[in-house]
Amino acid sequence: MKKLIFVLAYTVAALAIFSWSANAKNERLTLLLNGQYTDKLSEATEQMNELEQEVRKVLLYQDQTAATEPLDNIWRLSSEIRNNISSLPLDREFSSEWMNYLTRLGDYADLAKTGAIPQEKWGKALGNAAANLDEFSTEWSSATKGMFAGGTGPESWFAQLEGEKPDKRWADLGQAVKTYSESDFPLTASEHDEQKKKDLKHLEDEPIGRDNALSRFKELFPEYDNATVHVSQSEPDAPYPFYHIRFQDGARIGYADFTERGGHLLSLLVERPVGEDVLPEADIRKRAEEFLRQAGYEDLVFEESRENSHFWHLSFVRVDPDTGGKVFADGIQVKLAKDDGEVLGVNAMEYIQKEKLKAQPINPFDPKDFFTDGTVVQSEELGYTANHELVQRLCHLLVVTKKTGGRTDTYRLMVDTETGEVLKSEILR
Amino acid sequence: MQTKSARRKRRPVLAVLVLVMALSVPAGKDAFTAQNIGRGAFGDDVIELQARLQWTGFYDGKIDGKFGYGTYWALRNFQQAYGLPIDGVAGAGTKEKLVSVSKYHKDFVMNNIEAGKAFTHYGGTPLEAQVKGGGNGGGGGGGGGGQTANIPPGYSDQDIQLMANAVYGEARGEPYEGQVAVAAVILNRLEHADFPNTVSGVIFQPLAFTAVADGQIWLTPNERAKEAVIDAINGWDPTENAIYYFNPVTATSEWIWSRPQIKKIGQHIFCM
Repeated sequence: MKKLIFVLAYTVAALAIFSWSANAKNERLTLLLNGQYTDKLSEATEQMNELEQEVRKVLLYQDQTAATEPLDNIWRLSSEIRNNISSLPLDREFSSEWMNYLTRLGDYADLAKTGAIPQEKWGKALGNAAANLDEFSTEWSSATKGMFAGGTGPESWFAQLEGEKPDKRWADLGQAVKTYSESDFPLTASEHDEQKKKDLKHLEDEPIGRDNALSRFKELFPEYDNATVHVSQSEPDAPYPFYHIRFQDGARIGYADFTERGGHLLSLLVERPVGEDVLPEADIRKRAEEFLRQAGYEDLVFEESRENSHFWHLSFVRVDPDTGGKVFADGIQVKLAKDDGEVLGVNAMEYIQKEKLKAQPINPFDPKDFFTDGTVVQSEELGYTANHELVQRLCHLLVVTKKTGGRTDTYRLMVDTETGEVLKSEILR
Repeated sequence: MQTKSARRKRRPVLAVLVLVMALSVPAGKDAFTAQNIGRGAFGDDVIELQARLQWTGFYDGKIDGKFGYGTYWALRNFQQAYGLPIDGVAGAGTKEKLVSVSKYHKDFVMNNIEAGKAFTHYGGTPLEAQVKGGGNGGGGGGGGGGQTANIPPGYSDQDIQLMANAVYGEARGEPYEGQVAVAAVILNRLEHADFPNTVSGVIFQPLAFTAVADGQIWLTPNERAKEAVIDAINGWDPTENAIYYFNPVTATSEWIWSRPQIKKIGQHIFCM
């Protein structure tokens, strides 16, 4: 009996100590988190005031050089506020809208700095932004006032975020920022086009039925003729309608999506065990090219390949028949198994709506005048990339090497054939 | 005559010598596999190629098993120097030449990669003097840092690791398509103006992912989750551009139901 009492007392004491220690730990963590959130919120508030001042400063100058520093500050501050906002548990709708606004403001300042936007245009946009930021900072102060008061723990932050209905103050604030985004930085025509391309809203082909989608699947992938399939349609709110085909054939399980308009393949992905055999890369590439030819993708050229443990990922890009330039935005990716070269994935989403390319002069380009001594042009061809305004431009596509500090680096550059502007530069590893 | 204690003292010295000798034994002639190795290749053959090219002084980059442009130019220079056809592909002839003029200390290279140490593998310098200490790689030159995945530029090994953790924590019970879909949502957010512009910023945005809130993100991801991330990074997006998803059985937020839905994969509804 004595023993039992001793064991029970000992257990109760141990539990009490454990519980006390866990509570103390939780309390410390809660205070720490609360401190961090308050710090971020306070920093975001200060930066917001600074941002408003920098926007006003820009409006002072007619001279582009004088405006450079405040434009730089706008870009930096908008990025820093974004970071602070993204790490705070604020109302989703509000933080999304606010981050969107800050991204647009920062990008705009960056473009204004490089002269990509005429002064008249950015002067007007930033004038509106200054007025809206002023109004916003008053509303922000009112919405966050309670959060600086003592006793507001992380629970209350999360409670409003997890609440079934959003807090009205934050919902209103989010709505206000949305209005500012639309008025201060409206989407350009090119951005609209880019979004529509992504959402496949331009498709004007005739809609196909469920059976036709299935036939299209079996025509492209005859190896799944005997597979068990299930066809469903996208949800009514989807930005573009499509058919979703799930299938199983022995150990192979996968899906294929086809657009409802025109029955274009969006993507296919199959999972199956891959053996230890390894087919040479050249054979893998041949299989991919053979598949693309049979599937009717005849205007593509191989761009690059990447090997991983069991698969190869190969990229192909469309070639414009008029200029012979590679259209990187209209690419297709193919995934193949290393053991037998079976096509286990196709991604043709970006290929469906091809870029609209405009005729463009090709001015003489002399690499000797363009690069410093010691730069070697390894290859030169033509390719398309988007400029600041998201318009596809024909470019000299150059792969160059340069030895610096005993190391040879490889660069890929895209230089506009008309303006000579470098639209893209990257170091290839 | 040696005393027992003198012999005992020498034992660790002998052990170290044996270890150094073992590490210094070059791999045999047939160390390469029969594969041709070209740009885009990844794995042990590439590690050996880079190590041998460095041994002969043609390669000064990281020994990481990824056949990129650094390896490509080094190989072409090697081929040119030895009168071989210059194609930047390590075929049978090139590999034979490489093996005959270089050494490859496989254990030394592999152990250092495994340990994440910065090191080089130049001929004519003692190997032990070519290890630069711990940490992930050592900047320019040398190897280390390990070989995680061969992915398009713009993503780091840390990004892959974090995304694989998120995919495993969020969707390990889902079909493969559902795992690629979760990775695709992370990438779609990364490109979207409404979200942070770093992988860690997107994943750790408060209450953005359940796995972060309940700690399941810290479970060790399996190969399948990693493959799903690699597929998403290579362009696959089974969600058709979704930026949110939720489990209709467990979701409590009214807000998430207000988002325009795209499709359902496994237990998750993907939406805009």
